[in-house]
Amino acid sequence: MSSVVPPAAWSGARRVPVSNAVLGTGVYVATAIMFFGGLVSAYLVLRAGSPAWPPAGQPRLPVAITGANTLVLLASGLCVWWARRAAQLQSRTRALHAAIVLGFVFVGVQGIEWIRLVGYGLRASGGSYGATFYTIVGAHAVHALGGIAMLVVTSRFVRAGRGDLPAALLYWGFVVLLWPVLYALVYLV
Amino acid sequence: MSEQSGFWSRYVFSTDHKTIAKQYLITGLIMAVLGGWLAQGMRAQIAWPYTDVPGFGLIEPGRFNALVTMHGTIMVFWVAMPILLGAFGNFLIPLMIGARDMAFPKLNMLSYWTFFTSTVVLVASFFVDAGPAAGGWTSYPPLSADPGYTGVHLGTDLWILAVALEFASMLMGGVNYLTTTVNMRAPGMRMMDLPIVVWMQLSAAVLFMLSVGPLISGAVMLLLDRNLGSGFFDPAKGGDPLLFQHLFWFFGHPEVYVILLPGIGMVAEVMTSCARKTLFGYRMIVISVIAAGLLSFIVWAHHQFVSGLDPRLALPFALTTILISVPFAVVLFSLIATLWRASIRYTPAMLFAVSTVAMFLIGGTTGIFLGAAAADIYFHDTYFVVAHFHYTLFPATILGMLTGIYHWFPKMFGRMLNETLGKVHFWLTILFFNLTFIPQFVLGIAGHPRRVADPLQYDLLLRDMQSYNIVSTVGAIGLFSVQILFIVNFFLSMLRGRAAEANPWQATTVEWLTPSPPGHGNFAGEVVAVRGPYEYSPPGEDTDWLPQGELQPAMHSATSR
Repeated sequence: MSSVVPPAAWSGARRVPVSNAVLGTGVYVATAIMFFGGLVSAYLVLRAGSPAWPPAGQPRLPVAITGANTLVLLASGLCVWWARRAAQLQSRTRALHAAIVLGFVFVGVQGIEWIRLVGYGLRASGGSYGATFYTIVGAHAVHALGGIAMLVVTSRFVRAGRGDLPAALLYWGFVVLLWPVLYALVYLV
Repeated sequence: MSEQSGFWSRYVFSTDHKTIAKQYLITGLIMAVLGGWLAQGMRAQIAWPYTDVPGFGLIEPGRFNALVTMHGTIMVFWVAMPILLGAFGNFLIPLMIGARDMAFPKLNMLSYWTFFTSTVVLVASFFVDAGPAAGGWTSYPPLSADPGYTGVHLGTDLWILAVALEFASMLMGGVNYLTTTVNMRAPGMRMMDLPIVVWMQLSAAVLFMLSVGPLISGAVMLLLDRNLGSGFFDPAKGGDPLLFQHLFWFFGHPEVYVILLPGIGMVAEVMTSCARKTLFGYRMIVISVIAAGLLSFIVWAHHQFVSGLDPRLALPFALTTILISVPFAVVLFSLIATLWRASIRYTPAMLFAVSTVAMFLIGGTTGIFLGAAAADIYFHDTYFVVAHFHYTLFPATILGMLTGIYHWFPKMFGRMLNETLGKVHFWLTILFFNLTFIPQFVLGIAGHPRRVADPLQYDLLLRDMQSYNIVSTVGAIGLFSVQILFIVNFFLSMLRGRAAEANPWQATTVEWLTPSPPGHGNFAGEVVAVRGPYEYSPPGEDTDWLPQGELQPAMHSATSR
């Protein structure tokens, strides 16, 4: 064992165009895209097989509030993009904090809307309309919460002078840009 | 090295890829014994219906379904995946590309312990009320969604939870394999200089990552169906049971290649080093594997020809299915061409490697019958299918895994396996494997259905063919029993085997540059790749091999002491 080099002395032998963190995150994002692909194709198949959409007697979805909430999420994504471009440490952390707050606002409003929809009688057990809605929107919310956690960790690391903003931007960008697609499919079309 | 000194951090919560690989290997081997044991109960019931089976007791149809389900689940997700990817992916990728560890060692450790948790959950499901899942390893609704069909409640939920955890673990592994291979190769090692098994691991990781998402979405919907009554797969609520089959097989078919490719990669490594010849058609093998990977995403519905698929879809899926045999033929012929006019060293690993190709060819050619939609209508859900997929998966995973273990055991444990015992193990394994599954082809052609607990309930034909079932069962008992030879060899050699030198096979790839077993950090210096991976019998040289890499003095080793 003694002839072997200890971990502290390991050198990064290779200059790489994409950092490990960005590459690893990218691989995960590709998997998550396929996951949402599965959910969306299930949604489209079930919707195509349904005689009326939304089915009679089911509540309508809050298009306007969620539209505004979409803008909140896009603004949050923009903040991370700013943080990535900002030269100064202070403006970086400030932009990240704004992104975190906006992210929480998005998830919070989504949660309030869920509670209201449950109150109006939209249930996951009441057929594929409610089931697909809660599954797709819920899966996105879970990914958004994961993204917020990643932003929080990154902002702490950034203050300590390390941390990989490009990786955080990649993942949060995925969460932010996926949402308008889901919004259009589930709420608008 | 203080961080490696404690027992816990060194052997249990280790971030060293080699230790994690061994953890995966041992867990996978234990699960292989369990999976093989379940098959014994199944085969005994089929050969001698409703007689007490030693160790099992009476197996009624409900329990038989559970045995079928858990045998398939364990062999695919708890044996093939952890051993071929978890163990060999972890062990070989950093060592063969000259890296010191994986890109994310802590994620790697988390990956194993998530896998370990999934194993505990799965094994626990055997002990809950009404037993483990019994809806088949494919877990089709309504069998899996409605407890009324199998009588299993909690067992199915635990099954879904265990599979979900296993996938999470393999996802972490996949992130590591891909990032490590792309970013951490030794200086001088281009992508087209990668040892072929690393290419195979990389391709397997990419296929897994891109195909598993839809299945996870299906599993989420299944879980919601079972626990919230969402009815995604329930026609009474506007759902569609076929939807799950599409989501399952969109993953399920690429998954076949996920567990095939690493085994074939190890076979290729062993063949080229034991044939003392350059791997034939390296570039064509890489291109073929990429082509097969792409095609594997558009063949899935060939598993559904008789399940209510639109008949107009059957033809395109039959065409892509038959097309995908072309790249695999290229790979197998390249392997055979590697052996052409070679002076072959028949080590136990080489015997397993050659037999992997031979057996897989039987599996591959019988697949053509099933891929053609018209023929499949007859063969579907018969023992022909069972025999076919055992002739693909047994060589690719079990024989491939044994190839890998016999070849890299010295590097893993620093000792040599007993060669005579290895050869006896090889011949008996091949003998009993064929004894088990050749009769099943015959039975399948005669119309013997899969997944029935009592073949004698069908009077017309099968009563006269019960002797085939008995022969098959005798083969299965033999196949399971002779693995004792391997287990004895494995543990005895680990403790008392002859000490292994750094490069016992005179192989070219860079993992053989370092002592067996390598210490933490793998190499005493920096690996620099100076030539291609397979310089065997180079023309105009005295030696019959030239190593791919050289060790140069470590750049920073002085600073840390």
